[in-house]
Order: sequence, then C-alpha cells, then structure tokens
Amino acid sequence: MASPPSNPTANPVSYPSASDTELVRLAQEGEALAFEELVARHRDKVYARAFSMMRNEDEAVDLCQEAWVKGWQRLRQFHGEASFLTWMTRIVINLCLDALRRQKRFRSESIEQLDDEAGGVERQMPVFTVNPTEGLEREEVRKRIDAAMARLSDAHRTVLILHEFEGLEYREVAKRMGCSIGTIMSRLFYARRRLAGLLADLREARRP
Amino acid sequence: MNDREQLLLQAWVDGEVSAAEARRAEELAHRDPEARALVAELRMTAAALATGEPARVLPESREFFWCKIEREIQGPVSRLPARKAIPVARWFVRWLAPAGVVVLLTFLLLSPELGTGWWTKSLQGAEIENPQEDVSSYTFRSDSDRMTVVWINTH
Repeated sequence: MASPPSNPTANPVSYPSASDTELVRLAQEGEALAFEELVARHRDKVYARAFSMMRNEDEAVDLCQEAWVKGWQRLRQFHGEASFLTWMTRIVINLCLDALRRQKRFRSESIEQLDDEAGGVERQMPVFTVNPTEGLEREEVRKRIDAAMARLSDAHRTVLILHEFEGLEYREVAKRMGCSIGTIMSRLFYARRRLAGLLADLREARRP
Repeated sequence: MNDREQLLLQAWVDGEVSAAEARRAEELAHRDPEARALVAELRMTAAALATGEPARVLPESREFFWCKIEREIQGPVSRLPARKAIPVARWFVRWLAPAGVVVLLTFLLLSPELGTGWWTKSLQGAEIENPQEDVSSYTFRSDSDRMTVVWINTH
C-alpha cells in the first residue's frame, strides 16, 4: 500500500472536503488515504445495492469488500465517464451477478418457476387500478417496495434492480444476466405484475 | 390481449420501441380498456419503484471495514504500484531463467578453456585407472570336487 504523504505541507488536500474527482486522482497516484475517504463516503450505498441483490447481510458485506478491493486495483481504468459511485455500483453488481450464478440462484427448478419465467399466471391476473402507494410517506413506500422485492425470486428481483434502479436498457440487462432480450422482457413483466400484487396485498394487510 | 401485445405495451411504457411499434401500442391502449388498465398499472408500479429503496447502513464500523480492505490491497499481488512489475517477474521465471541455465550449460560444455576442468576430466576418463587393461583372469569349476579355481594374471 502506498504510504500516506510524509510531508503534510507538500499535499494540502483535506480528504473529507475534497471532491470525489480529486480523491480519485490522488488514489490513482497511490494515496490509500484518499481511497479510504472514498470508501467511507460511498460504502453504505454500495452495500445497499449488494444487499438488495443478495438479500443476505454477510454475503453483501463480503461482496462489498471484494468490490472495493477490485475498485482499488482497477482504479487506473476509471476515467470519469460516469460518477465514481456509479462505477463502484457496477463493480458490486457484477460481483453479485457472479455470486448468484455460482450459487445457481437464477436457475428455475420447478415447473411453477418455469411458468413464472414466462409470466403464466400473472398475465391472466386482474389489473390493479388503485395505486397501492397512494397517500403513503416516501419512506413507507420504500419499505413496502423492499418487503415486496424480498418476496420475488432472485432472477426477477435482479431484472427489476438492473432496469428500474440502475436504469439499464433491456439489451444491457440481457447482456449482464446472460440471457435473451425476450427472457428479460418476460421476467420484467412478471416481476412488475407480481410486485403490483404484493404492494396491493401489503396495503390491504396494513389497513386499519 | 395476447402475450405479445402485453410485452409490447410494457416496452412502450419503457420507451424501448420503434416508432411503428409505438403507434401500434398507442392504438391498442386506445381501443382496448384492458390494455389501457395494464399500461396504467405498469406506470403506477414504475412510479412506486422510482421512490427507490430504503437506505441501508453497512453493519461494520468505518475503521474495521477499511482495515479489511487495507489488508487486501497491501498484498503483493494487488498492490497498486507493483502491478506493472508482476508480468515481468512472471515472464522472467517462466522463460528467461530456464533459457539462462541452458545457455550457461552449453557454454561450459563447449568452452575449450574449460575443457581441462575437473568435471571434463571425469567425463573424458584420461586419468582414471582401469585395472582391467593389465589384468586377466581364468576360472575353473569342478562340480564333482565342489571346487572353483580363479587364476588371476597380472602380467
């Protein structure tokens, strides 16, 4: 690891007040303390993404740690096309995708799941006309979405995360998940319809 | 409304359709109330998702988490400044070192100055005493007498 600057006057940068761009530049030159500040600044958001994909605290922490180490090793490849946080989030997403694949969590193991892949039941499900999040506080909506997401399969939750939260197009989601655009569209459709149903159920369940 | 139409409406909501497909989707939503309701639901779900996820806090202290990362990036393989040196070192071990040994051995074997070295002497056998050149022997065995006679002639 590069040692911290030996002479503080030679490098007057105050890490906590420095911008991400400045910290990245310093870290690219080998200043680990600048990288430490970047870790401290963004670690919760990177962890949140890992947790939303893995739904397991220990796995999420381990993958986060691995992502930050990879971030340090690949720092020279970062040229600022996207924000540093976006770049780090993509790294942790790729690690989560690898982990999910390794654990075979994308595989459909039953006829029911295969039917889910195609959105069989959900395609016939009645459409929800009442907004299940209407009148709720922002934080309450987030909690309900999180609870509903937790009940989706890994494959469906991942498609939603990549498309809705990361803003990736169908083609990019398909590439990352290693399947066809048609499969992604089917999974996305199923996931959204199921989510709408789960949110409606939650609304009913919590109604006084 | 069939499966293809449902996926078309979804792609339309997501803005992932061509101009022609967009026209078809719009037309479908206009004439079919079920299609219109589905579009509304998809938009509602998308709006809910746009609220985002709850904030989460990494369940480890800043110092402890950094300590683990620091230990990893301090390793010889992943140390940032040393990255460029790794391939050269591997290349040396794999190719240059064995090639150097071969060149050295060839030089030692073919060099005339070194031709009288101790190790070449043993190979040439110039000063090795071979007693068999001056010694001959004859053997006689009698089974009836249970006797073997060996006659050694040292000239």
